[in-house]
Order: sequence, then C-alpha cells, then structure tokens
Amino acid sequence: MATQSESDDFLSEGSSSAQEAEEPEIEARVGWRYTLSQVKRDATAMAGLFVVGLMTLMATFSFVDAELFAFLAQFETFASVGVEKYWFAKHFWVSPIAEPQGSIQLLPPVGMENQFGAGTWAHPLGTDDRGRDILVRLVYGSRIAIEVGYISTAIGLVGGVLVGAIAGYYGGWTDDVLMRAAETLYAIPFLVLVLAFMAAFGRSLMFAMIGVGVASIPTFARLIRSRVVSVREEDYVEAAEAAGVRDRNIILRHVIPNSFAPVLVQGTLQVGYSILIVAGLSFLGFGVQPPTPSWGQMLSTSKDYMLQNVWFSIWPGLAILITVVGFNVFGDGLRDALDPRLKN
Amino acid sequence: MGIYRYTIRRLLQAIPVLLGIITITFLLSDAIPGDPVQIMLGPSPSQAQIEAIRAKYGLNQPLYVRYGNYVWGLLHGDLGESLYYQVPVLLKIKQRLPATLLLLISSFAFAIVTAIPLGVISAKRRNKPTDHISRVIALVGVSTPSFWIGLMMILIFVYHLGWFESTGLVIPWEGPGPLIAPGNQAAALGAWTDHLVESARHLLLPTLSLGTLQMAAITRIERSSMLEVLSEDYVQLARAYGVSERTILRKHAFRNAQLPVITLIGLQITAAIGGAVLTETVFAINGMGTLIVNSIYRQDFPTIMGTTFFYGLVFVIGVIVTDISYAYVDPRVTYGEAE
Amino acid sequence: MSEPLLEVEDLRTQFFTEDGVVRAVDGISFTVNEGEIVGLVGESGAGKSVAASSIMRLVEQPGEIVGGEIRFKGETIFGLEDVERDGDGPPEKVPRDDMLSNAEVRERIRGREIAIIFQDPMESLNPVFTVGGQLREFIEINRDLPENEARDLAVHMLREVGIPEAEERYDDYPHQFSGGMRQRVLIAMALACEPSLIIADEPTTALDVTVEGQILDLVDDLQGKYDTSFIWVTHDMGVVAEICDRVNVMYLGEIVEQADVDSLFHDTQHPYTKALLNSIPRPDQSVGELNPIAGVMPEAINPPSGCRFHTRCPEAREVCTRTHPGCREVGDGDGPHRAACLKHEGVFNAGYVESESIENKTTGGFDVGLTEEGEADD
Repeated sequence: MATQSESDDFLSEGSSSAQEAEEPEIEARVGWRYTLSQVKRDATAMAGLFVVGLMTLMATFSFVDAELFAFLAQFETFASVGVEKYWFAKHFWVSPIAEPQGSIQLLPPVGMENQFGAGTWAHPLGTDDRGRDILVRLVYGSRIAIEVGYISTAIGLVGGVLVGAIAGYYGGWTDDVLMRAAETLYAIPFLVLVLAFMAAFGRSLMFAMIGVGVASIPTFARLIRSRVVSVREEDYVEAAEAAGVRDRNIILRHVIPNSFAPVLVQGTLQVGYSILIVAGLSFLGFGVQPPTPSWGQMLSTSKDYMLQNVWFSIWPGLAILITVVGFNVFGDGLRDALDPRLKN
Repeated sequence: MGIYRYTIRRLLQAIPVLLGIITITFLLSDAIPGDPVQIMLGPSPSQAQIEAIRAKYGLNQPLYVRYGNYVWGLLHGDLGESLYYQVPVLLKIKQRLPATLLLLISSFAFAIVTAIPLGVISAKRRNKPTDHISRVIALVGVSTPSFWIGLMMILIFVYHLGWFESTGLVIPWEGPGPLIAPGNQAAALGAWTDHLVESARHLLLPTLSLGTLQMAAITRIERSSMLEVLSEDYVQLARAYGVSERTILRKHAFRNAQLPVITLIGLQITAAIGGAVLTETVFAINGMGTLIVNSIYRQDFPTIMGTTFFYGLVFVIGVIVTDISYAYVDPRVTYGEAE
Repeated sequence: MSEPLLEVEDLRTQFFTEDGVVRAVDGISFTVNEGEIVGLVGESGAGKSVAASSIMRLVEQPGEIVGGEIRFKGETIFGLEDVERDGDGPPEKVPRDDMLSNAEVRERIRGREIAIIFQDPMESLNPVFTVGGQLREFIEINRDLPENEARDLAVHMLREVGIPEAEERYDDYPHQFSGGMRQRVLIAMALACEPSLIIADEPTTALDVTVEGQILDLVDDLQGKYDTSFIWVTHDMGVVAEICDRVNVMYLGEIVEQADVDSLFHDTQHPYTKALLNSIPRPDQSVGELNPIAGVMPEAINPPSGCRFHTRCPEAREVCTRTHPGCREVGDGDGPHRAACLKHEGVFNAGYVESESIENKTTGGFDVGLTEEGEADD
C-alpha cells in the first residue's frame, strides 16, 4: 500500500492496490519502434488498427465533402465551378441529406423483401424513413462519431495531463485542490454531467464534445498523477532539479514524456467510450441536429420503424459496435505491446 | 479491525465531494440560458407577475446569496420547487428514485452474478475455446451501445415472441394495490404472485440491456486479475504445498482477484447511471433518467440540480459501499485504523 | 553409501516462447543425500530456480520438462520412455508407467516430502489471509492433522523459528510482519510439514545482511535438529561457504562444476567458479582489487557454440568455441570432483594445449562491455 499514505483522495482511498492493477505502471523503456513491432505481431491489434484507420479515412472524406466544401462554396471562385456542400456525394453518389422524389421509404437491403418492396442495388443497405440511402448516411455519419471521439478525447487528454502533471509534480495543496476538483467531476455520472453541461451551454454537437472532453479530464488526471508521483522520484528528474532547470521545463520535458505510454492506451480506449456516449446523447436528442447524418440519431429515428424495417436499426448499431470494437482492440494491443508483463 | 473507524472516515471524506457536486451543478444551472420565468408564465406576462415569480424563487438576489440559500435549503431537505411540475423537487425525486434504483441494483446483480464465473472460467481455461468465446462476449459487451441492445431485445422478445413487457417498471415492493379485500389471504397471495411475475416481466429486458456493459467490463477485469493472481508467488507456494487447483482457485486466488473487481464495480456505477438514463428512455420507465432529460428540455433548473445531486449521492454511496467491501476483503486497508 | 535421497539425471526444462525455445535447464545431473545441504550456485538466469521447480514438477506454461529423470526415495517424479510411432519418424517420448501422476505428485510429494522456500518473502504469503491460517492449512494438508492440533503445531513452529509472542502473532496478517519475520514463517511452514527435502530458492537474497545471517544460523540449527536435507539455491558464494556440504555450479542451464565445498573453494577446477569466487568481496581486498566477472551472461535462447562460457572466459582458447565439454571427473583428491572445462586436457583430450588463446575483449577487471554472443559459429 505504497500510495496509501500519499493519497487521501476520496476515490482512490482504500483501493490503491487495485488501482495499481487497473492502471498498471507501464515502463516506456523500449521506444516506439519496438512497440510498433510488437503491435505488428498481434493480429487482433492490427485488425483493430485497420478498423480505426478505415473509419478515420471515411470520416476525413466526409468532413472534406461536407464542411470543407461548404466553406469553400462561400467564395466566388469555387462556387462558380460548382463546389457546394456534399459536392462529391451529389455528383458521384447520392446526397446524404436530400429526400429524393419518388424514392421508396424503409426499403430493406439487397436480397430482402418487406411490405414496401424488395431491396435494390441502388440502395444496397436499404432506405430510411424518408427514402434516403442508408449506406451513404452511414458513411457520412462516421464523421460525427470519429470527430467527436477524437476531439473530446483530445480535450480530456490535454486537460487531464496538465491537471494531473501539475498536481503530481507540485504536491501539497495544489495537488489537494486539483485532485479534489477532479474527483468531484468524476463523482457526477458522465452522461448526467454532459447533459447538465449541454443544458447550460446549448444542445449542439460542439458542447457535446466539450462536455464529454471535460467529463473525461478526471480519468486522465488520475492516471497521469499516479505516474508523475513515481516518475518525479526518479534520478533524472532530481538531477534536473538539482541542475536548476525550471519546474515547467521539468514537467514538459521529463515528466510528461515519461508518463505518456499509459495515457496513450487510455486515450485510445477513451475514443471508443466517447463514441458510445455521444451516440447515447444523439439518441436522447442532444447532439447533431437533423438532417446531418449521425449514427446515434439514425438509431433514435429508427426505433419508431423497427417493425417495418429492422435493418434501419441494425446498420447504425453495427457501425457503432464495429468502430468501438476497433478502438478497444487496438488500445488493448497497444497496452500489451507497451507492457508485455500484462499480456494475457 | 478498525473497520468502523474506516467507515466513518470514508463518510466524512464524502462531504467535500458532495459539496463540490452541489457547487458544480449550481454553477451549471446558473448558466442555463433563457428566463425560467418566461417558461412558467408564457409569452407575455405582466411586470408584476414577473416580479412576484422572481421574488418567489429568489432570482432577484445575487449569485452567492442564492448559492447560500440553496445549500441551506438542501441541508434541510429542501431542493426547491420544480418550475414545470410546480411541486417540491424532492417529492418528484422520491417518486422517481425507486424505479432507477431498482434498475441499477438488478443490473449490477445480473452483471456480477454472470461476470465473475465467466471471468474465472476464462482465466482458468486461458487461450482455450471457452476463453475465446468469453473474451469475444466481453469485448462486444463493452463496445455496444446499451440502448441498441435494448431496442433489439424489444424487437425480439416483445414484438416477435411476446414474452416480456417493453414499457415501464412495476416496483415489486409497492405491492399489488388496495384492490384485495382485507382478510382474504389466498387472494392476497395470488395478487402478490401476479404482481411479482408482472414486475419481473417488466424488469428483465431493461436489466439485461443495462447490465450487459457492466457484465462485460467486470468479466474483462475478473479474467485479467485472476490471471495475475494465479501467477503470484503465494499461489505458486500453495501449489508447492500440495493444495489442489480447485482449492487454489476457490480460496487462495479468488479472494485476492476480487480486489480490482470491487474497485471497478465502484467506478462502473457512474457508467451505469448514464446507461440507466438511456435505458429508461428506451423502455419508457418513469425514473430519474427520464426526469432529468425532460427537465433539460423544459429548462427546469431546480429539477436538473436536484436530480444531478441525487445521482452524485447514489454514486458516492455506491463507492463507499464498494470501498467498505474492499476493506473487508483486504486486511491491509484498515491497517493502522485500529491504533 | 546408501541410496541418495534425490537423483536428478540429465534434466532438461525448456520454455516455448514466441521468440524461440529457451533451454533454461539443459541436461543437469546431481544427487542429494540424506541430511545434506547441497548448493546450486550461479548468476541469475543460469536456470537454478527452474531446476528447483522442475524437481517438484512445478514448471508452468510455456515451460515444460522435456527430458531426463528425477527419482526421489525410489519413486519416479519424472521419467520418459521412447515409444515407436506407428509410421516412420523418430520415436515419441511418453511418460513412463512408474512416473507419478499429477495427483500423486501433489498428494505425496509436494509439501509432504519436498517443501520449498521462495526467494521473496514479501510475495510468498497471501496478503488476505492470516499468517497462522496459512501455516495451519498447509500443516492440515500435509500432516493429516485435525484443525486444533494443526493450530497448536503452527504456533509451536512459529516459536521454533524465533517469532516472539507466537500465540498472538498467529492471527496477524503478513503485512504486519517484517521481511525477515516472513522468511521465518516460510521456514516454519517448510519444517512443519516434516519433509525429507527442502528446496530453498535464494531465501535470503531479498533480506538485508544482518537478517540473512540470522536466517542462516536458524537454518543451520534446525537442519541439525530435524535432519532435513536442503537444496540451497543461491548466487552468493559466501552463503555457500557458510552453509553447504556439496556444491553444483550452474552456467546457462548446465552444471559446470560439482564438488564438495572444501575442494570447490580450495581446488577450483573451472574458470567460471574461479571467477565467481574472485568476485566475493574479502576483508583483505580493496574495492579496486575486486574482480567481477566480465560481461553479461548470454541468453539461454541462443547459447554460444562450444563451451558456453567461452565468450567470457579468461582462459578460453580457439578449441573452446567449437567443442562443448560435458561435466567429467577431474579431481585428484578424495571426494568426487567434476568439471566441464577443456583445459583439463588429460580428461577431455580436445587439443586445448596446442589451441590458440582467443582474445576476450572483456577480460579486464572493470571492463563490463557487452559480449558478442556465439562468435565464430562454424
């Protein structure tokens, strides 16, 4: 119970040895190249990386087609050549938002049949309640999930690392105040906190991201703090201190880089978790507003049509499942590679 | 043993956390845009009406006074009055809390009862087919949106098979109602049985829907923790003294392996509460979750604050309960408390 | 002399890892007689602990005993025989009929006949059970005593190993004991089961020097009293000198020298043993005169060709890179004295004398540069 004496946190109290098992101290002793070679040998982790990469690519593409083109369309030069929002989708595929005239609603996927007709190759996964193609909406919906996952994790990670590093490095009352605040934040259930946050600041996607990010700060802060407390006792940090290097530089150059491995693992897993949370928010109606496609909101709409076309519910659910599995599997693989002792 | 001192210390430590929760929710609700008065009085109230309402809710006072009043009221069990329902928030919460607690407790019970054997078997048969299956179940479980599981289960078990109910909860301890004639014990027994069956039919799907995530998370940590403990020196020592694998698993390794699991269960409470909000929406349960979601739509800030505080309270109590069970399992925790 | 208590012959234990097969124990043979303390000495990674756990068949996946024989009091703890397969191909190794089953090893050997004391007393006791409870459980299993008698014996044994107020400390948890006290508890555990052999796997390494001395004295006393045999696994030649009757020196999974303790110290026959002895600090030496062994031990996954020690050996010659010496009788004194070094030309006849000396870059005192493995693989 080494941490017992130094931490009097509400949450870690009495559970410090479990905490050690849960947030293992991962030695960054082997460098990135070695880590990569270990991940490469792990077929499951590579499959996870593939999913992560594919989804990121899809999301980037959707982002360019939606946001970047919408932005460019404001300028005469681009507008004159026909650049508009969803320019690519409209010209080479189908628009993810327009409700096409004469299209059949709630069509099943190819090879299936329901009361509205048989599935066609024009809409391989079927159509939704407004006759829009489900596949294109799934692809463009990836953007929201990935964007939210990355940005909110980035907010939580940067905030958490700063708070945790400062608290762990300075100790004393700084530590007390910061960690108490983090604990309190943690004590309010994640989704409830984000809901309250959105109630206060607005029900837009941006506040969902910021809310999820802020709500995940305590997780990172606790993780990094426990690392910092042990790293700062190491010789090289003491040497730097003795040599008169300034605190900020010690934290930035020595403490944080040496604590980064577990944060990276946690970050990967957090992306998956954030995607789930934001899907839940969209399901409740807090999130991106229609007609912009998002998986959570597709699920939310589809629940009224489950008896007519169950596929409308299945596809976005599967999309979330596969993406989150990808992040989880990759995160697990990363952890195994960074700390072979934990490999099970 | 010092477990009582330990418990008291944990309870005392919870006070600043609860105060912190109050502060955060108070500040957040202060930032809620729009004038609640408008929500209550409609589009064109008279100036006098506005003043009356503002005075009634203390909205004309500065922030710190309102904060002080709120904390003071809370100490006396007064959470303010709901803007929408026009009743005390505490009353509303009292109506809604049982359903949410029932859902949370039953889903944790389901998760713990299934996950612990699954994780132990997985560790025992490491890298064998059983292990692979249980790991896939756990992985899918932590990666699937709980509300989607709920929707799919409603489709199968309610619409297609008709086995269970998909809306609302029947609280088992509230009894079958006053319809039974007093003194008729057989009728009372029958009514109670029907009532409990009905309650189970309503509870099962939400429990599974919410419990899957917890189950999966606990299975994962149970497996890895068991594997870690099984490679400890003291387990190897027990083997070296001729203790059978069965006894090692059930006695020497099991208790130690539960320590990280207990911590995780405590921390999972927060995820479960979030999941409960979604589950209540999917299954149209009148619990705290639907209360807070609707209150946010209606900008009913006293209710938002009250529910958030109660959620925090549920979490804090949950963590203390898990910590005390932890201290029960691990004698090292209370070491030093006895002096 | 009567039949030895334990006979280990050509024991091989390997670990099948992702990176290849680690030959942790690679054909070692030794015996332990009744009432004797036999040392198993070498640097960490030499395979001593694996050898120790092999004797109790406690090797865990991915490790496996792949060959050799272990006999204890006439019973076969481990033994294989060749069985012709139906088709062609090499014969298959299967357990012999007289080899004890897993259940038999567990019920008849472990604890009852052979007990073990692990290296790290801090990790060897289960933190969530009381010290007395753990001791009592092992006594119940291995001595067939009812609970109350087992409890009395447990308290008696705690007193025997010098734990003050044993009756009260019985209900304490391991974290309430110091490292030295815990090691005493583990010794009590081993002795309480009254085994014929105790394997002590570096039992004093984790303790500080004064405590180490107390524990060694304690074992010396109790060994005389209970007449138990010991296998004492250590890397510390000082401990060997103090406690052992006979010594086996291990290097990279092999035994390189085997002798009684006096002739090992005074008539050293293997350069590795010599190097180990030179690295013990002595009061008449300054630190500068200390002679640590140059280089680090190569990994057992890819051992050097020829003599495994040639990469670090100050006396290595060209022939040592090619010819692998077995452990043979080299002594001229009274007791048996075996060594695995080609410099004993009269025994090995490998052409050591005319072979050219090879320059080991690392022969100097403090130069501890890494040694290239397996140079000149031919």
